[in-house]
Amino acid sequence: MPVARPLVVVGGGLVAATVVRDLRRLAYDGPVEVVSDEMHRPYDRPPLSKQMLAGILTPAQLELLPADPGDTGTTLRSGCAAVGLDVADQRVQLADGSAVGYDRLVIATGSRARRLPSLPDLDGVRYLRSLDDSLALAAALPGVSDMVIIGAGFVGLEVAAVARARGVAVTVVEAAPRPLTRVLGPEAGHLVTDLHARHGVRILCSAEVEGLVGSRAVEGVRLAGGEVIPADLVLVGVGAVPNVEWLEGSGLVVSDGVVCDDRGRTSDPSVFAAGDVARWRNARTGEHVRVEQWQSATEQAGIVADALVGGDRRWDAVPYFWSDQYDCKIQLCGRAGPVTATVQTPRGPVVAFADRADEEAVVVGVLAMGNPRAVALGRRLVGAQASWEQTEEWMTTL
Amino acid sequence: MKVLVAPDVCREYANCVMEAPDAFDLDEETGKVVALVAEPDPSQYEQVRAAAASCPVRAIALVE
Repeated sequence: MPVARPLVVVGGGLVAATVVRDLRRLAYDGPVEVVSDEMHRPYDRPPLSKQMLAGILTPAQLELLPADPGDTGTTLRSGCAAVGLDVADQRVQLADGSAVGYDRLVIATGSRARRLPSLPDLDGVRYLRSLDDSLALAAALPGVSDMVIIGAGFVGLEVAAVARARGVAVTVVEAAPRPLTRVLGPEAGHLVTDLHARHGVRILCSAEVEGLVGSRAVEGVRLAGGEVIPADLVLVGVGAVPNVEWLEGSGLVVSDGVVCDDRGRTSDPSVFAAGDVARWRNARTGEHVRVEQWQSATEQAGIVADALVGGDRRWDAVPYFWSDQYDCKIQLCGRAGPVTATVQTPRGPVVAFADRADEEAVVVGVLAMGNPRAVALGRRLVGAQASWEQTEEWMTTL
Repeated sequence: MKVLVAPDVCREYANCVMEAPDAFDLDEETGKVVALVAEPDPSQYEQVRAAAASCPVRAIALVE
């Protein structure tokens, strides 16, 4: 008698752990096989740029699986990289030459740090993506006096905050005119620059890195224009690239991520995808977007689990992003826009965004720094497409 | 269903408030999670489960 093929998840991170947890909660009792290229068991990523570097958490505390110790139907294959996909035979090809057959497949291979190949290969130049990267960076920090972070994205800025708290002199170099431009847009970036300036961290914007100084170990970062910033550690945080190379030749539609509908289905009916690797249609906006946030990864994983048991949930969430820098919680729901209204609340600034300022304007996003209740309330307004007038009125109550 | 919250674990992400605004809030003074209903109505179950699942630090536990 042929053995039923398992449900296979390729990727051993947050999406894999959440899919497994949600499947079991939905009373799915079939076999699930998680295939991960990591040697570590699936772990949570946000603490890698914060608590792990501050020495507050240990790797064991980041583990996500098993969600339920009694779950004997879930198998984890560690150290197994997927190198190809055969959708006709329904097999995932692994680096060791073997293959895993699936009944249905969830692609959750995430993303990896974008490299800067133009930088010389000197000691002290680091990237931060994996648990191993974080452990290495944490071990290196005590010996560092000057740190330069290339890229004012949220990973770079979170590391800046932790390093600064440990007494390191930190400079952040960013090519765009403002920090966190990809998420906050140009209008609210100055709030982040101010936050870091208050803690003694310079964020140099519109600054281009021309090269590094040093022969074996890095000694400095040279900017276009000639300035050299001393550095005995350089962290590069210039974005992430979806891990889709292994799908070449599979026939799946891939375009800056695996393309999915608003329920996580790819161009093949037996294959789903979620998280950093996936470009989903959002039912609220009607647009496809690839989101690299913890929040949407767990949302999408939950929707895929639901789809796998025959459900019909769609991804229509108002986007939500958070970043912890110093003691400040930076939270954005929705998205940034060119029109802004700012209120200084006792807990910090709150900014509402719109695309226009006339009587037809609706709120498209709310940003709060140090005011989680405001952003939670703001998310409801954004979800309801509240009028700009109503939004401005609400802000006076904060 | 019983709702248990751990304010000392709470890190004020407010995901729970977003998912289930009738079941959770953040204390105005401390900023930590407050369960508004210890035993939710069945009509709230789905939202409360979503709220518990959305907590990045797992500060909400449900006994079902």
